[in-house]
Amino acid sequence: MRLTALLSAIEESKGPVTGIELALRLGVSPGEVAAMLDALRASGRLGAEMTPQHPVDECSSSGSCSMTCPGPEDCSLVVDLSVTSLEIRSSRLS
Amino acid sequence: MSAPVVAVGGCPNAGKTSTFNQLTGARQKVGNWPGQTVEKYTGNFTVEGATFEAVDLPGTYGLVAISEEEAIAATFLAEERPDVVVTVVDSSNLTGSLHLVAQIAEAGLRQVVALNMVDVAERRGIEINESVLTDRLGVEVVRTVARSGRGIDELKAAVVRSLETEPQQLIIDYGAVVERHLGGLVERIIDQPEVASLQSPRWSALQLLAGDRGLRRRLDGVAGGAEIVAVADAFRADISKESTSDCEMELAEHRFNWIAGLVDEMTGAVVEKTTWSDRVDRVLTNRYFGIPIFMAVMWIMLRITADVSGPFLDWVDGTVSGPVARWSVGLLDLIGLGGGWLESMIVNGVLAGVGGVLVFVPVLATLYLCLGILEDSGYMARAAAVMDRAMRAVGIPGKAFLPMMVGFGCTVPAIYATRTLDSSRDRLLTGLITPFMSCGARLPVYVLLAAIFFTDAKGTIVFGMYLLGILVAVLIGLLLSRTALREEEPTPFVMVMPEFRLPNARTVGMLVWQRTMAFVKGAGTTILAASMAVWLLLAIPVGGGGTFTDTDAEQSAFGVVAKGFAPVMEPGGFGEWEQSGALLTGFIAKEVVVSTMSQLYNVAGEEEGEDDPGFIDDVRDIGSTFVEATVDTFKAIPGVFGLDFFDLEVDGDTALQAAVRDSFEESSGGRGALAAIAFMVFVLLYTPCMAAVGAFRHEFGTKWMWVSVIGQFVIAWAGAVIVFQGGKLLGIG
Repeated sequence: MRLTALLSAIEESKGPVTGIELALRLGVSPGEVAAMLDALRASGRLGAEMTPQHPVDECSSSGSCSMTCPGPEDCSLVVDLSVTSLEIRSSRLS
Repeated sequence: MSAPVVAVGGCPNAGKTSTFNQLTGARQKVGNWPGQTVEKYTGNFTVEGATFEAVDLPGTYGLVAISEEEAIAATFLAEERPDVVVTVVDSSNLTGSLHLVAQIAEAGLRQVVALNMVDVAERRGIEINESVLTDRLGVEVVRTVARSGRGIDELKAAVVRSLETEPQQLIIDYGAVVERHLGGLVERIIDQPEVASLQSPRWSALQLLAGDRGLRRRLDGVAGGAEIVAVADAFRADISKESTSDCEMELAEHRFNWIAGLVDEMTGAVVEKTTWSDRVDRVLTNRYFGIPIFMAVMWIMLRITADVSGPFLDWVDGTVSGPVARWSVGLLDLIGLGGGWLESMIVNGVLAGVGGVLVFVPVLATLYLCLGILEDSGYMARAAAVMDRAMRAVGIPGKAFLPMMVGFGCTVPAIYATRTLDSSRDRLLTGLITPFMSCGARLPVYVLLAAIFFTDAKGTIVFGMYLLGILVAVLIGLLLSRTALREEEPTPFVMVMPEFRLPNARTVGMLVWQRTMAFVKGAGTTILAASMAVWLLLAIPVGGGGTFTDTDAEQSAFGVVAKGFAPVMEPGGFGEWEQSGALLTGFIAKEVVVSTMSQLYNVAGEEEGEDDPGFIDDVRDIGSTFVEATVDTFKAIPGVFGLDFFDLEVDGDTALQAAVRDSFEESSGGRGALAAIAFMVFVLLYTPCMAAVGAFRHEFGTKWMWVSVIGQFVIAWAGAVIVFQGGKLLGIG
């Protein structure tokens, strides 16, 4: 029941948690945690949310952005964190 | 007869689109998926005279429809049932990729597996025995490197061969409890011919037990469908009762174990379990070392930015205020427009304003270089993880630091990035504190003042400002989360970070170029417009004597307004009208603070009256000073780490620096350095720019926009006054 244990560990974290932390908590290697995360993604119990880099399509939609802001897709000033946030999704029919 | 349809699927980043492009070449059509905004790419390819239609499916980890993209892929495969599915697998991450392969095989679809990125797997020492996959799934397996086209011809040939065989359905053993119910459900599905005709009954049963909404919707309009769904729901409840976890997790666990076993068989269980990146991560994201390491990285980055870029800053300054100013005036004289308002506008408006900001291009370029290296190496992801955890510990939403880190580049996208937070309370709280993060536009102000008053500690002062921004954001966040915006139940989430790697010179170079050009573009638009407006207001006489463009600046429209605002700033030690005037225009954008100072202190024509060295001498001088600046830059690098091998000569103040120094000394009663810090604190904490205000209003409404603008002004003013008056009391400066 490794996936269930991983899901519980994520739930108990009450905030951000990294693969390394989960690996230490469960006593497995980071590679195994990565594989389990993929499995949870494939089963739909973990899902990726919007990334902070490109959260919206209409950065300048209100006409409020400066003349130099080309919108988030082309905004070179956005610091790229390359982070994906995976959140728990409840049972699909609940 | 229509061409056989080949769907190209795979996980995100497995090289699916590269494979599709290699298969179809330039023969592609772009449309939209029915009822969706997601683009649909189709194309053709020919093998041995036979034409195939290829469809590029959105990236997905499995066939359980969650996101829009996943739903598109799942629906297409279920309803259109393509003739062949080419599943692109990342060979360096087999476990992650094989869930989709397994589910497609369970669905009984004809499949060809492209083991892509085998070069990466080989470099990591992963040896893959693909015959295991062929034996277990009955599918063709081809090794590819889609980026280079390796294996694409073999892939096409495999697609043709696969059409000659009957697809095999994969049967995974889901354990006694699930299998018992699965068998019962399959029997009932077979009893309903319309339901059974949709797809393999076992696959339908698996999807129903997994809670797939797509299939439920399809069964709505099918005879016997509702009955099957009701049975499936009852079985789901039974399985959950009889097992240690819910039905969906039971299925996921067994499939995961099956895949893990398959991967072990394929690779001989030699897949590296702990990479060097994992080992580095243990240190960089360590609970105790993570934050000190982040602070040290920031300190080094800002020291390099402020100290090493100095020689180029001087070079651009000398070039703009010397040769460029002379050439402009000369050109105007040549066409008979010298000496009038046009010359005044170009010299005192454009050159002083825009030129005054462009001087800082080397500083910004250095910052972007450091940021680019940190981003491309994967460090910024670690920094976000470390800071997020720290923020969470003090009651600020864990995800808040992600938008805040974005704010290091620009506040506007950072405010939009708050959309990634879950609750409206978390979004608002993060939106309110994000503007305190020091964006790149504030850097010229820090560097200008730090170079004047803290020549030997420029980098440390700039670092102090960035750190203060984070501290104020955390403090305000703490205050808000304990008062107006009380904490809610935190959302648990996993931060998946990219592997550490050596930064790619091309990627970093592109980032530096794009960001620096965005700054230069800003100088040509926002700052140019602001500079022209300031010039116009400075040219209009109000009270006193003078005519248009020939009036005392203090008696101009701008001077009168700035003088009205100056007393407010006096307790902070910067109550001169030029200083308050620069802060007023700083509401438009922070770069404008420097351009306004440059205009108000009227330094563009500093070398007027000197002997004109001539065009050729000017060009030669620009070249030779550039070489000197380059050499001095390299000499300055050891200084970042406290090593001074070259005894670098420190240039004297430029005209702007000298004027600013005098002004701050005068406004503060001889405590110029203290007033400069207070000024920097004010610049750090008050409204970043009008664009940020607009973005805030767009996201949080007019009421909160005013709370934000007024709140930031009060905090900035209080911060500056505390620094200056507190420093005075302590006898500093």
